[in-house]
Amino acid sequence: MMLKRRAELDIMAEAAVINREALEAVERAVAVGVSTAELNAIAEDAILSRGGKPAFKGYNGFPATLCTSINEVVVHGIPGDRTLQDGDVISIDIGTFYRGYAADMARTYAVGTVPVETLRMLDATERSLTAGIEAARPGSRLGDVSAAIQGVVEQAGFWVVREFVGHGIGREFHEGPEVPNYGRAGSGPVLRPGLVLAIEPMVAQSRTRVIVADDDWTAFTENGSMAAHVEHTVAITEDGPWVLTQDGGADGVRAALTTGGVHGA
Amino acid sequence: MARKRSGPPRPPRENRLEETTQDTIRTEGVVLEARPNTTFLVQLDAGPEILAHVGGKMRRHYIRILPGDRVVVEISTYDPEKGRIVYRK
Repeated sequence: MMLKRRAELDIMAEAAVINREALEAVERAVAVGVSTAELNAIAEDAILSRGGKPAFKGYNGFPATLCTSINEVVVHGIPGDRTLQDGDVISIDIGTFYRGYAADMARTYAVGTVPVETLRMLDATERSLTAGIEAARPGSRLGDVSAAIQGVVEQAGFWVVREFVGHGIGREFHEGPEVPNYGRAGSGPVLRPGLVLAIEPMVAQSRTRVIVADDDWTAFTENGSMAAHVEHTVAITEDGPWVLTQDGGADGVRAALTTGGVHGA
Repeated sequence: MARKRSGPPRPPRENRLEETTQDTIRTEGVVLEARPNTTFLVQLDAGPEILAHVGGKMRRHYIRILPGDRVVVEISTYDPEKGRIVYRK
């Protein structure tokens, strides 16, 4: 696990702004009849025009800038000809490299009219991310974050996907530690200022396994139930969690970090 | 972009052996007599009598062995006089 100095966090915050603005550009285009390939093109333009580099493209062979995951697809859907239909639920995941550092975020959108139960799942997923972020404080443990997320999701009666996890992020797109969305409070490594995590609850409507399709990417629920996925890049600071990818993140909590450099932990 | 959870998947239950020591022979027999220190004299179907203790997993689950029980025994290839009871039928 790599800890980042203050100057590094500032760069990551800039990467996060580019990333968030690109997602917001995509968000404005989400509508019935729009293809996921079109959304991908918008994202790519938005990142490149701001001086960033799409982080997903080419990462372990992923072919696109966005992951577009519709309905029973949990994560890592590949953009293509599929057009959005009324009643679809789409998770859009986007990552940017800027000056050597990465930012990662995702949101899930309901297209047109969806069942109330689906809206309830989206709400629970959002709330679980907020709870996870709240728990990401110096001196807490990784398990506190995981348990907070799991608690909210299961309280609402939904299923936490186990097959995929959040991750540390920085110079590498995926760094240690892994951040599961399930776990026991008080377990795992202690969180220290300068650690940056991509916290990303993945939730299914009912208990299910998640399977990866033959394209080696598309991860879908085995029982076909709807899934949701939201994500923020969060730095742990002396003053608490700094949500880099949130609106206002770049001028959010500007804690005085006392970490002197990069440590192995 | 989510990361795939690491770690090897657990093998399916039926592929897991109760005791995974190599260099052993599995046979069946009948318990003749309880000896000190939770060892048992087992008459193997193949003929010989051997001294066998109770496998760790059986102890953990409090599976009791009495004279007369049919049991599966793992025998070390290095010492054919000794064995380990891994299953009570």
